[in-house]
Amino acid sequence: MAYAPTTVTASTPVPSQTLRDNDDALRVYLHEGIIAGDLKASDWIDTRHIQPPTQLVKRGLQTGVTGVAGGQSVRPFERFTFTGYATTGGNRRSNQDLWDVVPDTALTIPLAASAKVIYHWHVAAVVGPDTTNPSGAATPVVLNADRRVYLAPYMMEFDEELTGSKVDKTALVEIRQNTSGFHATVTNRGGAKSPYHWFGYGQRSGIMIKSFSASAGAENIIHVGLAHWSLVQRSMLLNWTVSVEVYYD
Amino acid sequence: MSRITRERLRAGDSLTAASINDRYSDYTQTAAIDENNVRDGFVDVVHIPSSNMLINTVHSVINANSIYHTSPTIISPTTSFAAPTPVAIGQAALGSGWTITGDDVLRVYGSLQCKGHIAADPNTIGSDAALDVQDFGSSATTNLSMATHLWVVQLQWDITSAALGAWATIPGGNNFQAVFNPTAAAGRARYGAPVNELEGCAFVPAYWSGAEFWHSGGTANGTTNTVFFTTGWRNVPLTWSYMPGSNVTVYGLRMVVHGVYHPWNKAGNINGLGLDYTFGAGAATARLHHDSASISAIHMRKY
Repeated sequence: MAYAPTTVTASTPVPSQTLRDNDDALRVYLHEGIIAGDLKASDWIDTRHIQPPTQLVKRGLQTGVTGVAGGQSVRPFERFTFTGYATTGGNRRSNQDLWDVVPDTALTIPLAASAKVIYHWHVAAVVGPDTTNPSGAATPVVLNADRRVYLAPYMMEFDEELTGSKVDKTALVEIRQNTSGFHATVTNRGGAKSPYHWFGYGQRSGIMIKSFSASAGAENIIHVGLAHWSLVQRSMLLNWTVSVEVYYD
Repeated sequence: MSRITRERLRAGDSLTAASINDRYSDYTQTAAIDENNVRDGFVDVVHIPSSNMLINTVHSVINANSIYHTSPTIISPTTSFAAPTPVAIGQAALGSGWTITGDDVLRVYGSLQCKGHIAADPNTIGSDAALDVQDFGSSATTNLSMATHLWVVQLQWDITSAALGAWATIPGGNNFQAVFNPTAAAGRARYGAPVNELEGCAFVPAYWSGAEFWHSGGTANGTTNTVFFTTGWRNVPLTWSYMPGSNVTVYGLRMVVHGVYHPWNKAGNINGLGLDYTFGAGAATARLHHDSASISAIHMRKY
Protein backbone atom coordinates (compact mmCIF):
# COMPACT_ATOMS: atom_id res chain seq x y z
CA MET A 1 0.00 0.00 0.00
CA ALA A 2 1.07 3.60 -0.48
CA TYR A 3 2.99 5.36 2.27
CA ALA A 4 0.67 7.48 4.43
CA PRO A 5 2.53 8.87 7.45
CA THR A 6 0.73 10.40 10.41
CA THR A 7 0.97 14.19 10.25
CA VAL A 8 2.21 15.94 13.34
CA THR A 9 0.66 19.22 14.41
CA ALA A 10 2.47 22.41 15.37
CA SER A 11 2.39 23.45 19.02
CA THR A 12 1.31 19.97 19.99
CA PRO A 13 3.53 17.44 21.75
CA VAL A 14 4.82 14.80 19.37
CA PRO A 15 4.60 11.35 20.93
CA SER A 16 7.60 9.19 20.23
CA GLN A 17 5.20 6.46 19.14
CA THR A 18 4.05 8.61 16.24
CA LEU A 19 7.56 9.03 14.93
CA ARG A 20 8.27 5.33 15.45
CA ASP A 21 5.10 4.38 13.61
CA ASN A 22 5.99 6.66 10.75
CA ASP A 23 9.47 5.19 10.53
CA ASP A 24 8.12 1.65 10.70
CA ALA A 25 5.60 2.42 7.97
CA LEU A 26 8.35 3.87 5.83
CA ARG A 27 10.43 0.73 6.30
CA VAL A 28 7.49 -1.43 5.29
CA TYR A 29 6.76 0.81 2.34
CA LEU A 30 10.29 0.68 1.00
CA HIS A 31 10.46 -3.08 1.38
CA GLU A 32 7.13 -4.14 0.00
CA GLY A 33 4.75 -1.27 -0.13
CA ILE A 34 5.41 0.43 -3.47
CA ILE A 35 2.33 -0.03 -5.58
CA ALA A 36 1.53 0.55 -9.25
CA GLY A 37 -0.15 3.85 -8.45
CA ASP A 38 3.12 5.20 -7.10
CA LEU A 39 4.91 4.64 -10.39
CA LYS A 40 5.13 7.31 -13.03
CA ALA A 41 2.28 6.84 -15.46
CA SER A 42 4.16 7.58 -18.67
CA ASP A 43 6.68 5.17 -20.20
CA TRP A 44 9.97 5.07 -18.35
CA ILE A 45 11.08 1.42 -18.54
CA ASP A 46 12.90 0.89 -21.81
CA THR A 47 11.51 -2.14 -23.61
CA ARG A 48 14.98 -3.30 -24.54
CA HIS A 49 15.37 -4.24 -20.92
CA ILE A 50 12.34 -6.50 -20.81
CA GLN A 51 12.35 -8.31 -24.17
CA PRO A 52 12.28 -11.96 -23.09
CA PRO A 53 15.05 -13.71 -25.00
CA THR A 54 15.24 -17.35 -26.05
CA GLN A 55 18.57 -19.04 -25.48
CA LEU A 56 19.75 -21.94 -27.63
CA VAL A 57 22.45 -23.48 -25.48
CA LYS A 58 23.94 -25.86 -28.04
CA ARG A 59 24.28 -23.18 -30.67
CA GLY A 60 25.38 -20.49 -28.27
CA LEU A 61 22.64 -18.34 -29.67
CA GLN A 62 20.39 -16.00 -27.79
CA THR A 63 17.65 -14.16 -29.60
CA GLY A 64 14.97 -11.83 -28.41
CA VAL A 65 13.45 -11.13 -31.76
CA THR A 66 9.71 -11.26 -32.14
CA GLY A 67 7.47 -9.19 -34.30
CA VAL A 68 8.62 -7.95 -37.68
CA ALA A 69 11.43 -10.13 -38.94
CA GLY A 70 12.15 -8.52 -42.27
CA GLY A 71 11.05 -7.75 -45.76
CA GLN A 72 12.17 -6.41 -49.09
CA SER A 73 10.79 -4.27 -51.81
CA VAL A 74 11.58 -3.39 -55.38
CA ARG A 75 10.78 0.13 -56.40
CA PRO A 76 8.77 0.68 -59.60
CA PHE A 77 10.58 -0.21 -62.79
CA GLU A 78 13.84 -0.97 -61.08
CA ARG A 79 13.38 -4.65 -61.68
CA PHE A 80 11.00 -7.00 -63.33
CA THR A 81 10.76 -10.67 -64.02
CA PHE A 82 8.68 -12.92 -66.19
CA THR A 83 6.23 -15.69 -65.84
CA GLY A 84 4.92 -17.94 -68.57
CA TYR A 85 3.57 -21.35 -69.23
CA ALA A 86 7.00 -22.50 -70.37
CA THR A 87 8.62 -21.33 -67.15
CA THR A 88 6.20 -23.14 -64.94
CA GLY A 89 5.92 -26.15 -67.22
CA GLY A 90 2.15 -26.15 -67.30
CA ASN A 91 2.03 -25.74 -71.05
CA ARG A 92 -1.28 -24.02 -70.74
CA ARG A 93 -2.99 -27.01 -69.26
CA SER A 94 -5.34 -26.20 -66.45
CA ASN A 95 -5.08 -29.66 -64.94
CA GLN A 96 -1.40 -29.30 -64.04
CA ASP A 97 -0.57 -26.77 -61.39
CA LEU A 98 3.20 -26.59 -61.64
CA TRP A 99 4.53 -23.74 -59.56
CA ASP A 100 7.80 -21.87 -59.62
CA VAL A 101 9.20 -19.19 -57.34
CA VAL A 102 9.01 -15.49 -58.08
CA PRO A 103 12.59 -14.21 -57.68
CA ASP A 104 13.42 -11.85 -54.83
CA THR A 105 10.22 -12.48 -52.95
CA ALA A 106 11.53 -15.07 -50.50
CA LEU A 107 13.08 -14.80 -47.07
CA THR A 108 14.88 -17.45 -45.06
CA ILE A 109 14.30 -17.16 -41.35
CA PRO A 110 15.71 -19.18 -38.44
CA LEU A 111 13.06 -19.81 -35.83
CA ALA A 112 14.32 -20.21 -32.29
CA ALA A 113 11.02 -21.52 -30.98
CA SER A 114 7.56 -22.43 -32.16
CA ALA A 115 6.08 -19.41 -33.86
CA LYS A 116 3.41 -18.05 -36.12
CA VAL A 117 4.67 -16.63 -39.38
CA ILE A 118 2.66 -14.02 -41.30
CA TYR A 119 3.70 -13.28 -44.87
CA HIS A 120 2.43 -10.21 -46.72
CA TRP A 121 3.00 -9.68 -50.43
CA HIS A 122 2.10 -7.29 -53.22
CA VAL A 123 2.91 -7.53 -56.91
CA ALA A 124 1.88 -5.83 -60.13
CA ALA A 125 1.68 -7.78 -63.36
CA VAL A 126 1.14 -7.30 -67.05
CA VAL A 127 -0.41 -10.54 -68.24
CA GLY A 128 -0.35 -11.49 -71.90
CA PRO A 129 -1.41 -10.82 -74.56
CA ASP A 130 -1.49 -14.40 -75.70
CA THR A 131 -3.74 -15.34 -78.58
CA THR A 132 -1.50 -18.03 -79.99
CA ASN A 133 -1.80 -21.75 -80.24
CA PRO A 134 1.22 -23.51 -78.82
CA SER A 135 3.17 -25.05 -81.64
CA GLY A 136 3.52 -28.78 -81.33
CA ALA A 137 1.42 -28.91 -78.24
CA ALA A 138 -1.71 -30.82 -77.71
CA THR A 139 -4.94 -28.95 -78.00
CA PRO A 140 -4.78 -26.40 -75.23
CA VAL A 141 -7.10 -27.20 -72.39
CA VAL A 142 -7.42 -23.57 -71.43
CA LEU A 143 -9.21 -21.35 -73.87
CA ASN A 144 -7.84 -18.00 -74.85
CA ALA A 145 -10.42 -16.14 -72.81
CA ASP A 146 -9.64 -18.08 -69.66
CA ARG A 147 -5.88 -17.86 -69.58
CA ARG A 148 -4.55 -16.35 -66.41
CA VAL A 149 -1.59 -16.09 -64.09
CA TYR A 150 -1.91 -17.44 -60.57
CA LEU A 151 0.10 -16.13 -57.63
CA ALA A 152 0.21 -17.77 -54.22
CA PRO A 153 2.51 -17.71 -51.18
CA TYR A 154 4.44 -20.72 -49.95
CA MET A 155 6.14 -21.65 -46.70
CA MET A 156 8.37 -24.66 -46.20
CA GLU A 157 11.46 -26.00 -44.53
CA PHE A 158 14.61 -24.45 -45.96
CA ASP A 159 15.95 -27.61 -47.62
CA GLU A 160 12.69 -28.63 -49.23
CA GLU A 161 11.84 -28.37 -52.90
CA LEU A 162 8.95 -26.22 -53.98
CA THR A 163 5.99 -28.31 -55.04
CA GLY A 164 2.32 -27.59 -55.37
CA SER A 165 1.69 -28.99 -51.90
CA LYS A 166 3.87 -26.30 -50.33
CA VAL A 167 1.84 -23.53 -51.95
CA ASP A 168 -1.10 -22.19 -50.01
CA LYS A 169 -3.77 -22.38 -52.69
CA THR A 170 -6.37 -21.12 -50.25
CA ALA A 171 -4.53 -17.79 -50.47
CA LEU A 172 -4.25 -17.94 -54.25
CA VAL A 173 -4.98 -14.92 -56.41
CA GLU A 174 -5.20 -14.58 -60.16
CA ILE A 175 -4.79 -12.06 -62.94
CA ARG A 176 -6.66 -12.72 -66.13
CA GLN A 177 -4.99 -11.84 -69.40
CA ASN A 178 -6.33 -9.65 -72.19
CA THR A 179 -9.89 -9.66 -73.43
CA SER A 180 -10.85 -12.63 -75.53
CA GLY A 181 -10.33 -11.64 -79.15
CA PHE A 182 -7.68 -9.04 -78.47
CA HIS A 183 -5.33 -8.55 -81.40
CA ALA A 184 -2.02 -6.87 -80.92
CA THR A 185 -1.41 -6.40 -84.66
CA VAL A 186 -2.84 -3.70 -86.92
CA THR A 187 -4.93 -6.17 -88.85
CA ASN A 188 -8.24 -6.83 -87.18
CA ARG A 189 -7.30 -4.84 -84.13
CA GLY A 190 -10.12 -4.65 -81.68
CA GLY A 191 -9.71 -1.18 -80.28
CA ALA A 192 -12.51 -0.27 -77.92
CA LYS A 193 -14.25 -3.53 -78.69
CA SER A 194 -11.39 -5.59 -77.32
CA PRO A 195 -9.39 -3.56 -74.85
CA TYR A 196 -6.22 -5.15 -73.63
CA HIS A 197 -5.06 -3.26 -70.61
CA TRP A 198 -8.31 -3.32 -68.68
CA PHE A 199 -7.94 -7.03 -68.10
CA GLY A 200 -4.26 -7.68 -68.60
CA TYR A 201 -2.87 -5.37 -65.94
CA GLY A 202 -3.38 -6.13 -62.31
CA GLN A 203 -2.08 -5.36 -58.88
CA ARG A 204 -2.59 -8.05 -56.31
CA SER A 205 -1.80 -8.49 -52.65
CA GLY A 206 -2.31 -11.21 -50.11
CA ILE A 207 -1.47 -12.74 -46.79
CA MET A 208 -0.53 -16.17 -45.46
CA ILE A 209 -0.47 -17.30 -41.85
CA LYS A 210 1.23 -20.53 -40.81
CA SER A 211 2.36 -22.05 -37.52
CA PHE A 212 5.78 -23.65 -37.19
CA SER A 213 7.02 -25.72 -34.29
CA ALA A 214 10.61 -25.91 -33.12
CA SER A 215 11.88 -28.24 -30.43
CA ALA A 216 13.84 -26.77 -27.54
CA GLY A 217 17.48 -26.31 -28.36
CA ALA A 218 16.95 -26.82 -32.06
CA GLU A 219 16.68 -24.26 -34.79
CA ASN A 220 14.09 -24.46 -37.51
CA ILE A 221 15.05 -22.68 -40.72
CA ILE A 222 12.06 -21.84 -42.87
CA HIS A 223 11.72 -20.39 -46.33
CA VAL A 224 8.76 -18.19 -47.25
CA GLY A 225 8.07 -16.57 -50.58
CA LEU A 226 5.76 -16.08 -53.53
CA ALA A 227 5.13 -18.61 -56.29
CA HIS A 228 3.59 -18.26 -59.72
CA TRP A 229 1.86 -20.58 -62.14
CA SER A 230 0.96 -19.32 -65.58
CA LEU A 231 -1.47 -20.43 -68.25
CA VAL A 232 -0.33 -17.53 -70.44
CA GLN A 233 2.53 -17.64 -72.88
CA ARG A 234 4.42 -14.77 -71.30
CA SER A 235 3.72 -12.12 -68.71
CA MET A 236 5.72 -9.64 -66.72
CA LEU A 237 5.82 -9.20 -62.98
CA LEU A 238 7.09 -5.92 -61.59
CA ASN A 239 7.14 -3.77 -58.52
CA TRP A 240 6.78 -6.41 -55.85
CA THR A 241 7.03 -6.04 -52.11
CA VAL A 242 7.03 -8.63 -49.36
CA SER A 243 7.26 -8.54 -45.59
CA VAL A 244 7.23 -11.13 -42.86
CA GLU A 245 6.07 -10.99 -39.28
CA VAL A 246 7.22 -13.71 -36.88
CA TYR A 247 5.74 -14.07 -33.41
CA TYR A 248 7.02 -16.68 -31.00
CA ASP A 249 4.33 -18.64 -29.23
CA MET B 1 10.25 12.51 -9.71
CA SER B 2 13.83 13.25 -8.83
CA ARG B 3 15.61 11.56 -5.99
CA ILE B 4 15.04 12.95 -2.48
CA THR B 5 17.60 15.68 -1.96
CA ARG B 6 16.50 17.18 1.36
CA GLU B 7 19.39 18.27 3.54
CA ARG B 8 20.22 16.11 6.54
CA LEU B 9 19.51 17.37 10.06
CA ARG B 10 22.29 19.39 11.54
CA ALA B 11 23.05 20.42 15.10
CA GLY B 12 21.19 23.60 15.89
CA ASP B 13 18.40 23.05 13.39
CA SER B 14 14.93 23.74 14.69
CA LEU B 15 12.73 20.69 14.77
CA THR B 16 9.22 21.81 13.87
CA ALA B 17 6.06 20.02 12.92
CA ALA B 18 6.53 21.20 9.33
CA SER B 19 10.05 19.91 9.03
CA ILE B 20 9.05 16.52 10.44
CA ASN B 21 6.07 16.28 8.09
CA ASP B 22 8.19 17.29 5.11
CA ARG B 23 10.61 14.45 5.74
CA TYR B 24 7.85 11.88 5.82
CA SER B 25 5.98 13.42 2.92
CA ASP B 26 9.05 12.94 0.76
CA TYR B 27 8.08 9.28 0.55
CA THR B 28 4.47 9.75 -0.50
CA GLN B 29 5.01 9.49 -4.24
CA THR B 30 1.81 9.02 -6.20
CA ALA B 31 2.63 8.47 -9.88
CA ALA B 32 6.16 9.75 -9.38
CA ILE B 33 8.53 6.82 -9.04
CA ASP B 34 10.61 6.41 -12.17
CA GLU B 35 14.11 5.45 -13.26
CA ASN B 36 15.60 7.99 -10.85
CA ASN B 37 14.17 6.14 -7.86
CA VAL B 38 15.24 2.60 -8.68
CA ARG B 39 18.54 0.82 -9.00
CA ASP B 40 19.93 -0.80 -12.13
CA GLY B 41 18.24 -4.12 -12.67
CA PHE B 42 15.26 -3.15 -10.56
CA VAL B 43 13.05 -4.44 -13.39
CA ASP B 44 14.30 -7.50 -15.19
CA VAL B 45 13.04 -10.25 -17.44
CA VAL B 46 11.96 -12.45 -14.58
CA HIS B 47 9.56 -9.76 -13.43
CA ILE B 48 7.68 -9.73 -16.70
CA PRO B 49 4.84 -12.22 -16.99
CA SER B 50 4.87 -14.38 -20.08
CA SER B 51 2.45 -12.87 -22.56
CA ASN B 52 2.59 -13.52 -26.27
CA MET B 53 2.57 -10.61 -28.67
CA LEU B 54 0.20 -12.59 -30.84
CA ILE B 55 -2.93 -13.59 -28.95
CA ASN B 56 -5.17 -15.23 -31.58
CA THR B 57 -5.10 -15.97 -35.29
CA VAL B 58 -7.56 -17.53 -37.72
CA HIS B 59 -7.47 -18.34 -41.42
CA SER B 60 -10.89 -19.36 -42.68
CA VAL B 61 -11.29 -20.64 -46.22
CA ILE B 62 -14.71 -19.98 -47.63
CA ASN B 63 -16.50 -21.62 -50.51
CA ALA B 64 -13.41 -23.40 -51.85
CA ASN B 65 -14.62 -23.98 -55.37
CA SER B 66 -12.55 -24.74 -58.43
CA ILE B 67 -9.96 -22.12 -59.22
CA TYR B 68 -11.09 -22.49 -62.83
CA HIS B 69 -14.50 -21.09 -61.91
CA THR B 70 -16.53 -23.96 -63.26
CA SER B 71 -19.42 -23.37 -60.87
CA PRO B 72 -19.28 -19.93 -59.30
CA THR B 73 -21.89 -18.55 -56.94
CA ILE B 74 -23.94 -15.81 -58.58
CA ILE B 75 -25.42 -12.85 -56.73
CA SER B 76 -28.16 -10.59 -58.12
CA PRO B 77 -28.45 -6.85 -57.51
CA THR B 78 -31.18 -4.76 -55.96
CA THR B 79 -33.30 -3.59 -58.89
CA SER B 80 -35.68 -1.06 -57.35
CA PHE B 81 -35.71 1.84 -54.91
CA ALA B 82 -35.25 -0.27 -51.81
CA ALA B 83 -32.66 -0.92 -49.15
CA PRO B 84 -30.05 -3.39 -50.42
CA THR B 85 -30.03 -6.93 -49.11
CA PRO B 86 -26.50 -7.98 -48.14
CA VAL B 87 -25.72 -11.52 -49.27
CA ALA B 88 -23.34 -13.41 -46.99
CA ILE B 89 -20.51 -15.18 -48.75
CA GLY B 90 -18.91 -16.91 -45.79
CA GLN B 91 -17.64 -16.38 -42.31
CA ALA B 92 -14.83 -17.03 -39.86
CA ALA B 93 -16.03 -18.28 -36.48
CA LEU B 94 -13.87 -17.23 -33.53
CA GLY B 95 -15.03 -19.93 -31.12
CA SER B 96 -15.86 -18.65 -27.67
CA GLY B 97 -14.85 -15.18 -28.78
CA TRP B 98 -11.78 -12.98 -28.91
CA THR B 99 -11.83 -10.27 -26.27
CA ILE B 100 -10.12 -7.25 -27.79
CA THR B 101 -8.99 -4.90 -25.03
CA GLY B 102 -7.90 -1.31 -25.20
CA ASP B 103 -4.31 -2.54 -25.33
CA ASP B 104 -4.97 -4.81 -28.34
CA VAL B 105 -5.44 -4.48 -32.07
CA LEU B 106 -7.63 -6.62 -34.34
CA ARG B 107 -6.36 -7.00 -37.91
CA VAL B 108 -8.58 -8.53 -40.58
CA TYR B 109 -7.64 -9.53 -44.12
CA GLY B 110 -10.19 -10.79 -46.62
CA SER B 111 -9.82 -12.04 -50.17
CA LEU B 112 -12.51 -12.83 -52.73
CA GLN B 113 -12.27 -14.37 -56.19
CA CYS B 114 -14.94 -12.62 -58.19
CA LYS B 115 -15.95 -10.88 -61.38
CA GLY B 116 -18.63 -8.44 -62.43
CA HIS B 117 -20.97 -9.74 -65.11
CA ILE B 118 -23.49 -7.95 -67.27
CA ALA B 119 -25.66 -9.25 -70.09
CA ALA B 120 -27.38 -6.15 -71.51
CA ASP B 121 -26.37 -2.68 -72.54
CA PRO B 122 -25.78 -0.32 -69.59
CA ASN B 123 -25.40 2.70 -71.88
CA THR B 124 -28.77 4.39 -71.49
CA ILE B 125 -30.12 7.91 -71.52
CA GLY B 126 -31.19 8.94 -68.08
CA SER B 127 -28.77 6.75 -66.26
CA ASP B 128 -27.17 8.28 -63.18
CA ALA B 129 -23.59 7.64 -64.16
CA ALA B 130 -23.56 8.48 -67.85
CA LEU B 131 -22.49 11.25 -70.16
CA ASP B 132 -23.33 12.32 -73.70
CA VAL B 133 -20.68 11.92 -76.37
CA GLN B 134 -20.98 13.57 -79.76
CA ASP B 135 -21.19 11.34 -82.78
CA PHE B 136 -18.76 11.59 -85.65
CA GLY B 137 -19.64 14.31 -88.12
CA SER B 138 -23.00 15.16 -86.67
CA SER B 139 -24.51 17.05 -83.77
CA ALA B 140 -26.22 13.95 -82.49
CA THR B 141 -25.10 12.49 -79.21
CA THR B 142 -24.98 9.03 -77.74
CA ASN B 143 -25.31 8.28 -74.07
CA LEU B 144 -22.26 6.49 -72.73
CA SER B 145 -22.01 4.97 -69.30
CA MET B 146 -18.98 6.06 -67.34
CA ALA B 147 -18.67 2.47 -66.17
CA THR B 148 -18.23 3.49 -62.57
CA HIS B 149 -20.77 0.99 -61.28
CA LEU B 150 -19.45 -1.37 -58.65
CA TRP B 151 -20.34 -4.07 -56.16
CA VAL B 152 -19.56 -3.58 -52.49
CA VAL B 153 -17.83 -6.35 -50.54
CA GLN B 154 -18.22 -5.51 -46.89
CA LEU B 155 -16.90 -6.87 -43.61
CA GLN B 156 -19.32 -7.53 -40.73
CA TRP B 157 -18.80 -8.89 -37.23
CA ASP B 158 -20.85 -10.58 -34.53
CA ILE B 159 -20.14 -9.26 -31.03
CA THR B 160 -23.25 -10.78 -29.43
CA SER B 161 -22.69 -14.53 -29.10
CA ALA B 162 -20.98 -17.56 -30.55
CA ALA B 163 -24.31 -18.50 -32.16
CA LEU B 164 -23.37 -16.01 -34.89
CA GLY B 165 -26.91 -14.84 -35.38
CA ALA B 166 -26.42 -11.12 -34.85
CA TRP B 167 -24.15 -9.82 -37.57
CA ALA B 168 -23.54 -6.11 -37.36
CA THR B 169 -21.73 -3.32 -39.12
CA ILE B 170 -18.16 -2.82 -37.94
CA PRO B 171 -17.06 0.51 -36.42
CA GLY B 172 -16.34 2.99 -39.17
CA GLY B 173 -18.73 1.23 -41.52
CA ASN B 174 -22.27 1.81 -42.73
CA ASN B 175 -25.07 -0.70 -43.27
CA PHE B 176 -26.28 1.05 -46.45
CA GLN B 177 -29.86 0.74 -45.18
CA ALA B 178 -30.61 4.49 -45.19
CA VAL B 179 -31.24 6.84 -48.10
CA PHE B 180 -27.98 8.63 -48.71
CA ASN B 181 -29.53 11.77 -50.21
CA PRO B 182 -33.09 12.03 -48.79
CA THR B 183 -33.58 15.60 -49.97
CA ALA B 184 -32.91 14.77 -53.60
CA ALA B 185 -35.49 15.52 -56.25
CA ALA B 186 -38.21 12.98 -56.85
CA GLY B 187 -36.79 9.85 -58.38
CA ARG B 188 -33.22 10.84 -57.66
CA ALA B 189 -32.79 9.60 -54.09
CA ARG B 190 -30.51 6.61 -53.62
CA TYR B 191 -29.72 4.24 -50.80
CA GLY B 192 -26.05 4.34 -49.98
CA ALA B 193 -23.33 5.64 -47.71
CA PRO B 194 -20.80 8.49 -47.57
CA VAL B 195 -17.18 7.75 -48.32
CA ASN B 196 -16.04 8.37 -44.76
CA GLU B 197 -18.14 5.43 -43.58
CA LEU B 198 -16.69 2.79 -45.87
CA GLU B 199 -14.18 1.14 -43.55
CA GLY B 200 -13.88 -2.58 -44.14
CA CYS B 201 -15.21 -2.34 -47.70
CA ALA B 202 -13.77 -3.50 -51.01
CA PHE B 203 -15.19 -2.83 -54.45
CA VAL B 204 -15.60 -4.85 -57.63
CA PRO B 205 -16.12 -3.16 -61.01
CA ALA B 206 -19.52 -4.20 -62.33
CA TYR B 207 -18.63 -4.02 -66.04
CA TRP B 208 -16.60 -2.17 -68.61
CA SER B 209 -18.05 0.07 -71.30
CA GLY B 210 -16.57 2.12 -74.07
CA ALA B 211 -17.35 3.80 -77.35
CA GLU B 212 -16.04 3.75 -80.88
CA PHE B 213 -16.64 6.37 -83.57
CA TRP B 214 -17.15 9.15 -81.08
CA HIS B 215 -16.16 12.64 -82.13
CA SER B 216 -12.55 13.28 -81.36
CA GLY B 217 -11.78 15.83 -84.06
CA GLY B 218 -11.71 13.34 -86.88
CA THR B 219 -13.51 13.64 -90.18
CA ALA B 220 -15.21 10.30 -90.63
CA ASN B 221 -18.98 10.11 -90.35
CA GLY B 222 -20.85 7.71 -88.22
CA THR B 223 -22.89 7.13 -85.16
CA THR B 224 -21.15 6.42 -81.91
CA ASN B 225 -21.23 2.73 -81.14
CA THR B 226 -21.18 1.80 -77.49
CA VAL B 227 -19.83 -1.51 -76.31
CA PHE B 228 -19.70 -3.24 -72.95
CA PHE B 229 -17.93 -6.20 -71.42
CA THR B 230 -18.03 -8.23 -68.29
CA THR B 231 -14.94 -7.79 -66.18
CA GLY B 232 -12.45 -10.56 -65.78
CA TRP B 233 -11.98 -12.80 -62.79
CA ARG B 234 -9.90 -11.13 -60.15
CA ASN B 235 -9.09 -11.19 -56.47
CA VAL B 236 -10.35 -8.36 -54.35
CA PRO B 237 -8.46 -7.75 -51.11
CA LEU B 238 -10.22 -6.37 -48.05
CA THR B 239 -8.40 -5.08 -44.98
CA TRP B 240 -9.52 -3.58 -41.70
CA SER B 241 -7.96 -2.97 -38.31
CA TYR B 242 -9.52 -1.91 -35.04
CA MET B 243 -8.25 -0.70 -31.68
CA PRO B 244 -11.23 -0.43 -29.31
CA GLY B 245 -11.54 2.11 -26.54
CA SER B 246 -12.96 -0.53 -24.21
CA ASN B 247 -13.17 -4.30 -24.26
CA VAL B 248 -15.20 -5.91 -27.03
CA THR B 249 -15.61 -9.64 -27.61
CA VAL B 250 -15.77 -10.68 -31.24
CA TYR B 251 -17.35 -14.05 -32.03
CA GLY B 252 -17.22 -14.02 -35.80
CA LEU B 253 -16.28 -12.15 -38.97
CA ARG B 254 -17.93 -12.43 -42.35
CA MET B 255 -18.06 -10.79 -45.76
CA VAL B 256 -21.27 -9.73 -47.47
CA VAL B 257 -21.92 -8.44 -50.98
CA HIS B 258 -24.53 -5.98 -52.23
CA GLY B 259 -24.98 -3.59 -55.12
CA VAL B 260 -24.87 -2.14 -57.67
CA TYR B 261 -23.58 1.31 -56.66
CA HIS B 262 -21.88 4.24 -58.32
CA PRO B 263 -20.25 7.41 -56.99
CA TRP B 264 -22.89 9.86 -55.85
CA ASN B 265 -22.89 13.37 -54.47
CA LYS B 266 -25.45 14.90 -52.17
CA ALA B 267 -26.19 18.36 -50.82
CA GLY B 268 -23.26 19.75 -48.92
CA ASN B 269 -20.87 18.33 -51.46
CA ILE B 270 -20.66 15.04 -49.60
CA ASN B 271 -19.42 12.21 -51.76
CA GLY B 272 -20.50 8.64 -51.37
CA LEU B 273 -21.97 5.61 -53.07
CA GLY B 274 -25.55 5.48 -54.30
CA LEU B 275 -27.46 2.30 -55.10
CA ASP B 276 -28.30 2.40 -58.79
CA TYR B 277 -30.96 0.40 -60.62
CA THR B 278 -31.42 2.77 -63.53
CA PHE B 279 -28.66 1.97 -65.98
CA GLY B 280 -30.93 0.63 -68.66
CA ALA B 281 -31.31 -3.00 -69.54
CA GLY B 282 -27.95 -3.62 -67.96
CA ALA B 283 -29.21 -2.91 -64.45
CA ALA B 284 -31.34 -6.00 -64.13
CA THR B 285 -28.73 -8.25 -65.68
CA ALA B 286 -25.80 -7.25 -63.48
CA ARG B 287 -24.42 -10.14 -61.45
CA LEU B 288 -21.49 -10.73 -59.17
CA HIS B 289 -19.85 -14.09 -59.72
CA HIS B 290 -17.65 -15.32 -56.92
CA ASP B 291 -15.69 -18.42 -56.01
CA SER B 292 -13.21 -19.04 -53.26
CA ALA B 293 -12.75 -16.52 -50.49
CA SER B 294 -10.83 -16.35 -47.27
CA ILE B 295 -10.81 -14.37 -44.06
CA SER B 296 -7.63 -14.11 -42.01
CA ALA B 297 -7.67 -12.33 -38.68
CA ILE B 298 -4.98 -11.48 -36.16
CA HIS B 299 -5.52 -10.46 -32.56
CA MET B 300 -2.39 -9.01 -30.99
CA ARG B 301 -1.07 -6.65 -28.38
CA LYS B 302 -0.40 -3.08 -29.46
CA TYR B 303 2.81 -3.06 -27.42
